[in-house]
Amino acid sequence: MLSAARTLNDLVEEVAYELGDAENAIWSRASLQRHARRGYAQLVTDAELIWGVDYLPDLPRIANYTAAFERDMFAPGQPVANRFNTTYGGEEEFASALTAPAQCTAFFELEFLDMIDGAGTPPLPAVCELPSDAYRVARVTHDARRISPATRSELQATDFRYRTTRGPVVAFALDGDGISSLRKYRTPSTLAAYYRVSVGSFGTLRASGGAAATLEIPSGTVTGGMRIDEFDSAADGAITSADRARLALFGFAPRVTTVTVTTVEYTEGPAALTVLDLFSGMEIIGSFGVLRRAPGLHPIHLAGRGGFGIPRRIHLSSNNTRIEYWGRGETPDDLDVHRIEIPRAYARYIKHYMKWHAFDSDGDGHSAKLADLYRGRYAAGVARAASRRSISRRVMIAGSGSARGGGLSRPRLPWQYGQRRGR
Amino acid sequence: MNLTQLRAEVQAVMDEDTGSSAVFWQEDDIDAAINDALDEISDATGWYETRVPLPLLRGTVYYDLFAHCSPAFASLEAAGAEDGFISVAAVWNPVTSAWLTGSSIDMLDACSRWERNEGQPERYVIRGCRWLGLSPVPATSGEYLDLWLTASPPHLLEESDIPGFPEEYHYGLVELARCELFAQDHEAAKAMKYWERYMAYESKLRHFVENRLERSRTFIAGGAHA
Repeated sequence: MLSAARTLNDLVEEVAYELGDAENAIWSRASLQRHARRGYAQLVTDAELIWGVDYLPDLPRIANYTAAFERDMFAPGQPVANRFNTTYGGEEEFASALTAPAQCTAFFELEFLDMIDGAGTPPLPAVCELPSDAYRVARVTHDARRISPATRSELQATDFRYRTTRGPVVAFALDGDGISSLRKYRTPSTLAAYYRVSVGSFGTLRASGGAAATLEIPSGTVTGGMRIDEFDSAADGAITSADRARLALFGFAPRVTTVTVTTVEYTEGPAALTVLDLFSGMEIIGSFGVLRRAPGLHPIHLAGRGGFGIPRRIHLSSNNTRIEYWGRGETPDDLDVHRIEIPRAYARYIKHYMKWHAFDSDGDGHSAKLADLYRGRYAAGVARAASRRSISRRVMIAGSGSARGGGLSRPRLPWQYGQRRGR
Repeated sequence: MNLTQLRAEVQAVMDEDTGSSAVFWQEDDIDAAINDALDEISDATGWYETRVPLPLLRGTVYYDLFAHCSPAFASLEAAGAEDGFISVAAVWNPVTSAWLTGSSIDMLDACSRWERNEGQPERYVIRGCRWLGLSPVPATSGEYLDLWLTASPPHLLEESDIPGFPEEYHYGLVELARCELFAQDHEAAKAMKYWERYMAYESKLRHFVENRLERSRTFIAGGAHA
């Protein structure tokens, strides 16, 4: 009975018992675990159960290492960005085995990139890597408008220079740049909207602002932003050592305040400024605890894919490219820890799959008829799951009078006008 | 039929003694098989429906049904139904007093940038197995929608517990429990026999669930076709 099974190992133990082989004399635990992994992977792909969302941000690509072996040389705590060995999308014409270009090595540098080609925007990457758990793209939007898929032949027929033409993104292609890549057409020419974060590139959001904070601003630059490690607990404009100490030890913002900022004054060197609240004007629900949801944050980006965790990186949809895909689900490295991401009713189909393959395997436990039985039950479960994704049943509302629903009667001539007799 | 009666029917065919005299199939094994059968027939027919409130957040298009349904099912946790939601049957908006229309994502995309239109939700779309999308997007927080869900019912735990669907279909649980137990005993022919008998009950219950409303035909003079 699938009562409280939440991990794949729970399913393994239940199936072993239901096969009458709790001691794993006929079917080894390893073989049942193998069937469990495979069944879970097969089910989520056959029935398209895992829906994922991610952004392919129209922002300069951030990367901070150039060779694959460098990835393992980062010290604990050092932020790891992407790998790059080009800085401009057109360089691929001159060499092979190149990565996507990158123009900066840290997030805060976005504000300081110069205009390279006079277009007002630093070059943005057109080719992006698909999320690692995506096996099929479902829908792609740019600036909240759905864009169409196209083959490279169609793009080339439309625009011979489709690989370098810049402008609003109106289509995408999945061929021509590698099996796990997506190319935007056109190459984005406008930066996506993003929340400006002054300090830090990883970790949890620790403050949403206070009455005042201290910023370090380069000479001649006036900007608004938020410094993560400044927090005004008393909302009195003074950042005390106690505030800093608190944030240094604990990563949560224990209080969220509403701040509206209209002016920013700057003087040479660090100065006390009125800081633009990250969520200025936004409705704030609650007054303590950790940040759970932010305007523009897609709920699927909460850690664990839904319902718990702390937002780590918030993308906005304005001028941004978003991809929706069917995913494989989390890879169960540890079958005792990995939580099944699908409802309990669907997890039963995994047990059917496991029993199907257990009875189908050679050995003392082989039974072709029982294998057929559970194969049929697994297939029926997949079909059921797939049918639920379509439009749900309409609620039937009782009506009176008419026997059939429908539109108006067909128009009729008042007599047999123009028709031959006998017809 | 209550749990005691269901168990007795299963034991009669299994040729097993009752109570502490049971040799091979213990009462717990038979109860587990009956509750498995209850889960199976509930999943296949969708007879068990329950209502869950869905709190809306301003500007939020997609809602995780796992996160919202789990508290509602918490009262059933003792019966092992804490993640029992299966699918969305219908959605009611108490503000507009109207049922939301189930849509596909293609239908919603006919309106460009539908994810930015704010207002009272009129349509819903299901993505994957646990995400519910709304259009228009809620413009205010604090309001609720009523979700009608099909779900796994609470298991039969007490001797007097009775399945919630009509009694003429209860014997389907007995047939499927027999099928499962014979399969555990590797008696393939008997398992197949009882599986086919169970399928007949399942299809009848599904037909009952999907055709609960009958409208009598009324003769309409003059208009021949709708």
